[in-house]
Amino acid sequence: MDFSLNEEQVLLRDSAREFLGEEWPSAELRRMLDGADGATAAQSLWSKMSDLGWPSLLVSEDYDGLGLGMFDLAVLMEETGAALIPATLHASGLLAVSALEALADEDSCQKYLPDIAEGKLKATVGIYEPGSGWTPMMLAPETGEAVTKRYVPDAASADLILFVNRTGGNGAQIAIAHEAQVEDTYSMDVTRSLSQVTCPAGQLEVLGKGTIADVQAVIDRATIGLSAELIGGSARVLDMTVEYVKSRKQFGRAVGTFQAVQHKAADMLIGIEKGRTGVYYAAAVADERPDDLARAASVAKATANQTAVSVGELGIQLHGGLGFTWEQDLHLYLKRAKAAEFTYGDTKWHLDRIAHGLGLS
Amino acid sequence: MTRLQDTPAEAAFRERLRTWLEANTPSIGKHDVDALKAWQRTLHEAGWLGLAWPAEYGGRGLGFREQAIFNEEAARARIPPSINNIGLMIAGPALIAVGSEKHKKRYLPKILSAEEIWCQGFSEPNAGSDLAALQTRAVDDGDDYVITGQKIWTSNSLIADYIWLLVRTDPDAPRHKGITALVVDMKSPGVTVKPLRQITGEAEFGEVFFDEVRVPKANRVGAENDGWIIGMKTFTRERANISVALSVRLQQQFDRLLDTVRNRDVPLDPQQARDVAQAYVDSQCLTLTCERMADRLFGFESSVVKVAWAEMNQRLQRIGLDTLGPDAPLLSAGGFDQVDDTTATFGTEALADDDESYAKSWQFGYLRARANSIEGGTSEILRSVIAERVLGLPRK
Repeated sequence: MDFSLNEEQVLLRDSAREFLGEEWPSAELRRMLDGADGATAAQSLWSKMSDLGWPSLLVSEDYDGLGLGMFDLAVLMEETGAALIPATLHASGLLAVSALEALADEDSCQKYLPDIAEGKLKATVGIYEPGSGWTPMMLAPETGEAVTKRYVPDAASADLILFVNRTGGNGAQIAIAHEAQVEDTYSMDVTRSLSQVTCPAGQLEVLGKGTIADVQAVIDRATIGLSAELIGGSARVLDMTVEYVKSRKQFGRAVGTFQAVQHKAADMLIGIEKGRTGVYYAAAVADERPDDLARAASVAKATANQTAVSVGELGIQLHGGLGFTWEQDLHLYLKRAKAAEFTYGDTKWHLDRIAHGLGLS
Repeated sequence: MTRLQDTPAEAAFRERLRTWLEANTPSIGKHDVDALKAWQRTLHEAGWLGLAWPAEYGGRGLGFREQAIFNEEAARARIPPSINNIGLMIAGPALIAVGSEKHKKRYLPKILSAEEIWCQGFSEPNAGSDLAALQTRAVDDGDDYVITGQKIWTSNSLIADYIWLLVRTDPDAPRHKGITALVVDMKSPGVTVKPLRQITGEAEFGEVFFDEVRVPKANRVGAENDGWIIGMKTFTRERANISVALSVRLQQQFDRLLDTVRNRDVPLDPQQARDVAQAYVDSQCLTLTCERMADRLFGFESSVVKVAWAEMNQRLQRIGLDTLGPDAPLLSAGGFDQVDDTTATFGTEALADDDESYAKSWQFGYLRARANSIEGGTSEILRSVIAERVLGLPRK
């Protein structure tokens, strides 16, 4: 096993951290959340990320992408998670790219992927439906009637809304949802919207077919990316917390000298190291051993869920009253963690899938 | 680059090792000292020990990676435990780091061959977590030190030939500055060892008493009163090596857990199945974390892995015992003398898979695991180490 970052990955990580520090500081994030020009802030960030080639990272070279792997993307997404960027990169550069490459036919890939890679086209994918839970086999077979998808990331600003449907049995399809009606269902994670999207009867344009297993593999890749974002966010929360408890004084000394505080900070690091291992392992499996993807993605997500929520809670606790204020960014990380915990399967769902794979249920 | 696969050289190393282990791994009871020594000698002569030790002292001069492959294959082949684990994992690496050339040439080859078994004398009745409070005295007397005092929690002390010892040479100096490291022959007049029975019923540790024991100054490691730093270096090596070895042990325990639940007549309820899945996640993540952090484990970050391992193993052992249901508390006739680590069956001999063996092994495992968060640094002390030394929080 080798989980060390190569030279290009170190460069990617460092340049991403520097770029986001300049382009997406807390003030800019707050402008998106609070200001009337929120969409402008998000679009401006997207343009600059596109110039850096981030949306093209996973796209194969056949479609004008960089053709890199999940490990590379995970390294980048730790940084984007630390900066709490909007969902566009996740939705377009990971979810939509993976779904098109897995399910769409050659012509459709040629038609859409180069524009997605360039950032000209912002795509997203609706998969889950009311009643499907997180299990694609529970999707209702597509019949030509209107279809409603839930928890669609970043749908309001997407240029291309794709639906992944079950077609009956183990069959699946990917289709453009024309005339899609986007209802903004807001998320606890105020930095990312999760929309309900309805495609009227007869408005699906099918781009290709596959199996439910292909759909699950697409979700598993997105799961690994989301886990990387969660671990990156957790690492940032720990950094903020360490800085704070070093400088905050009570009883005439820095609160970071108190064991009760120190031990919670240590637990945050222990969780982050475990979680980062899960992410890197699953990303390497996605790149090199896709047959084991399901279990590895579940290891990553179960661990990332546990780490991110716990670190988010501890970060607030160790900041004391300040951590409970709207002004401080900590709540944004906890809300991201809590919302993400219920995206692509909660901890129970992933542990159940591992148990099932081990023959225990 | 591939991340999950061995390089061609690693794959060849693994293949040779696996073939050798399949042909040579014996079945030995865990208390058969002579057979365990002979097994270690066999391993050494075949070139599988001291993989990362320098060649001039009997090692192979390879890297952490080969050692990790050895650990994986050893677990897979269920090789008998290392009788000289303290020498191999603690005293030997510490000597390599801080010992004189003479000491290295004298002691290291015989640690590898198991001709000389080592133990470690650090903890004392009044110096546990607060190691710098140690009181065992070494009085300067010409060419010798004369040692009087007591050590406790000394693994392998009942069979050891040498002890890696910390003593106080200067009682007037600030407490961290009056400590010296020595190598002491356990057969020296005045050394007495008593077994220390623990909550599992067995006596894995001992108490070592020193009554005016004469030790030549030539046995000192490093300079006089330099022992604290040497002790700290020993600790980081201990935690790194033990973490890696124990991640392998955690994998084996997980396999045993799977065997136990598959042997049940009643299926697991959903929460129990989730608990087992969580144990899978833990054992996977720990092993992989050791690999990912390999180059950092010789520093303070080894504490991250040690604390995580202790809690994961405690959780796993609790799950194992809990899966036995109403039979979990039932002891065999003979009481705690019979509670045993039945997973300590080695080589080609099949693990016992009857209900009584499962009960014995999970009772043992659950109780033994209580020490995981105490031995080698309590989890409380290690969390402070993580906070202050890794995260850089201020000290009081």
